[in-house]
Amino acid sequence: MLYFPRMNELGEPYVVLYGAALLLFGAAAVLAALLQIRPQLGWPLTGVLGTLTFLFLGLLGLDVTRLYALDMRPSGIAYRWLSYAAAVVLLATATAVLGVFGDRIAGAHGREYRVAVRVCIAASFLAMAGIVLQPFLAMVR
Amino acid sequence: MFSFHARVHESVAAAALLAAGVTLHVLWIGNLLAVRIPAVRETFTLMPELGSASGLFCLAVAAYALVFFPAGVWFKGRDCSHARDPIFWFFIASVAAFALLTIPFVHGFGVAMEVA
Repeated sequence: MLYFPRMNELGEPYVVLYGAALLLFGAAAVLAALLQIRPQLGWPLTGVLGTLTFLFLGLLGLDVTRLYALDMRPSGIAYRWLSYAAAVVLLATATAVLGVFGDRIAGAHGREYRVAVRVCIAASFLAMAGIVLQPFLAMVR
Repeated sequence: MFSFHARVHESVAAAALLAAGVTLHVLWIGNLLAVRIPAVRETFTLMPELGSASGLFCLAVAAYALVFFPAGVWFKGRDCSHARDPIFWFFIASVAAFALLTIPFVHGFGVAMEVA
C-alpha cells in the first residue's frame, strides 16, 4: 500500500523536531557562509551539524514508530528512507571533517573540505525538503 | 588562539569523505537492485514496516565502517595532499549520482523490447 504522510499527520513531536532542524539549518547556512571571514566559527558549526545529525535520527525514529503504530507497510516509499539515510551520512561526515579541522578549515589546505562541508549542508537540506514535499510531488505525479 | 588540537589529522577527514562517497554509491546501487530484482528486495527486507530500506540502512552502516576505518589507518601519518583533490571530486560525483539515480522516475525507467 502506498501512503504518503503529510506534516500534520506526523504528530506534534515530529513537527517540533522538524522546526528545530529548520532553525539549525538556517544557523548552519549562516555559519558555513561566514567560515572564511571568521574561522573561529568552525567549532560552533561542528556542534550545530552534530546536533542536526541526531535530530535526523530522531525524525527517522518518529517516522518508523508511527508506521509501527498504524501497522502500515509502505515499502514503496524507499525514496523517503533513502533521503533520511543520505542526510545522516552527509551530516555525520561534515561533523567529522569539521571536528578534525575546526577553526583551521579557513586555511588554504582546507579549501576542498570547506566546499565539501557546504555541499553536505545543502544536500541534507534538500533531502529534508524532499521528505516533506514528497506527498505534494506524489500528488502532482 | 588556544586550541586542543595542535595538529590537523587530515587522514580522518579524507577517510570520512571517501567513506561518505562510497556509502552514497552503495545506497543508490542497492536501491536500484532492490527495485529491479525481487530476490534482492526480499533479502534487504529485515523489517517489513520499512521494506528494503531496512537492509539498505544496515548496508550503508557497514559500507561506511568498512571504508572509513581501513582508509583512516591507510592515510594515518601519510601525506594526504595528493589524495585531497581526487577524494573531493569522488565525493561530489557521489552526491550528484545519488541525487539523480534515486529519483523514482529514473531508477524505475525501463525499455520494453518486442520481438516481431
